Amino acid sequence: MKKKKIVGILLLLPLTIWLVAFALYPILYGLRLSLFNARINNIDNPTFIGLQNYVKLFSNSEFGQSLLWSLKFAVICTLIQMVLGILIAWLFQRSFPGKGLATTLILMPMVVAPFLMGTMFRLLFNESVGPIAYLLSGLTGTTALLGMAWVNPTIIGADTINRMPFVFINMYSAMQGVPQELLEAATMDGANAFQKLIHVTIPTISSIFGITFLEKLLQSFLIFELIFAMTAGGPGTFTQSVSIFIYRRAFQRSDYGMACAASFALALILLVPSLYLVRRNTKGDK
Amino acid sequence: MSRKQKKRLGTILTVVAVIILILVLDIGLITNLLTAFKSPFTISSSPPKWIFKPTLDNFRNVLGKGSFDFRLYLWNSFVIAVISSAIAIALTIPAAYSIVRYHGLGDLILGSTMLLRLAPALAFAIPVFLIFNRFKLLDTKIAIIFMHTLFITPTSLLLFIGYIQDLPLEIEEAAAIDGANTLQILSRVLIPVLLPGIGSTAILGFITSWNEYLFSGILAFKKSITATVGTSFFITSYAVEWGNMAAAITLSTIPTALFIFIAQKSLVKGMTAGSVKG
Repeated sequence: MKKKKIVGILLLLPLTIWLVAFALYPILYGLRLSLFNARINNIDNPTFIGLQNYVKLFSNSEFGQSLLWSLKFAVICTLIQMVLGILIAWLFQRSFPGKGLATTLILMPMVVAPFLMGTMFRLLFNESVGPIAYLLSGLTGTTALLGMAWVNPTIIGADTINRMPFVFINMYSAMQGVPQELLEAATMDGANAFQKLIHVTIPTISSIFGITFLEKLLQSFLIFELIFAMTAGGPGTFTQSVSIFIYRRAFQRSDYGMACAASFALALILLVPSLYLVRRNTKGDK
Repeated sequence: MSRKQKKRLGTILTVVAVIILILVLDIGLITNLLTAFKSPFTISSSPPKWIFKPTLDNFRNVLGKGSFDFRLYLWNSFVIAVISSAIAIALTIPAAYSIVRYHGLGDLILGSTMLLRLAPALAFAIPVFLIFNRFKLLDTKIAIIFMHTLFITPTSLLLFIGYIQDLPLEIEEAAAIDGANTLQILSRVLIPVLLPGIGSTAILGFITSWNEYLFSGILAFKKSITATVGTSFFITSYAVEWGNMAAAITLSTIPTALFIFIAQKSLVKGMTAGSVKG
């Protein structure tokens, strides 16, 4: 019995070593660094300043603004993408010719790197040469879609194209599992297609619905690559998500101590919802 | 209208809606592909031209010896993705086996890996950059491989746990009775039946690494730059080489686009593994 336990631990050893070396150690190193004034010129010999980085951080209005921007962005994007994802998944419950190919084409934006997607949109939304900016100018009255007036809706649209397929495929797989008898019974009771969606399908898949919602919310809150490629947080700090704020602090201003403090504050904020998701996800594996 | 006619109308409306949807979702990819075949003159024409004489100049520039060695970036991406994916598989198969058959410590490791998947990547990026700087590992492929492997392990682990749970215990028991030890069971019994699963996990790992930007971006500045990072080099402070950039993006999206066509089912399974139990 004891031997069995040792074998079990030995099998975990390679992964554990990797996690300790490249996840736990950096986290602890960063946590320590957040208590120091560490910049590029004194990185080998930083000065200990206690909690000052955190104090400075929470009195920094840019940090507060970036948190608020990310929160708004996450809520709006998640709501739009959940609604669209569910409606499209619902549409795909019907059978129609070419459904397999259509599914692949809808999933396509999800497998392209968000950074490439962002770079692509930076070109296509460009004020002077962007074909999409030109197409949309009839609606918006301007081709300056990355300027102050339109940049937020543009980014939300880009993120929706990039991430909505994830919601779609989650909801689609979940809907496949809704028992046919339930839907037939509802039809007998005279429910129309939309009523069935609201009163039968969505309540039946509520658990996956909740997990997808929360996961999407966390992802959007941390958005980095898409915005970094499209606007790099600009104009000015107008689209500075909290991840962009931290990146700029660390890699443009070389203020490593404060950037570490900001990333830990962020990790702490997200810890509770993340732990909840992990619990929900691993429950079934035991 | 008869019932049959009504059904047909419904199908037609669905197809029209789906076509519009696909056009909207893929408009970025489509217009980018078109731009990649445009000459600089065609690109700057207003209103934008949708029908034009295609040219391969942009691809020639990007793949030739221009200002950037994009061929090297593609090669780096390929090497890093293959090795990271392979290491992640080697790390997670034994771990998944231990988690399914032995429990105990494994549940803690599983929990930590899942938490890793949700944690803000920037919390790792800053210390990792400084640590690798100290060990003189910046701008090496190995540094990027270390981190990409780490970020592939959560999905890889989840997938292998699923595959191993589906395997009947009897084969292993029979092998154990024949005197095989755990290592032999793993290598001679388990790996062969896991091969299809290893294939799709490898593809998913490859894509995760190929698409990664943050760590590839901060850890490399010359020799070990990847294709995803390299696409942004066509934007300089003087000018933007739109056509070359579109060609570079097109080249960088080919592997992922190919994989979604040939292995859609297993990819979807992997991408939703964290949130939906299959």
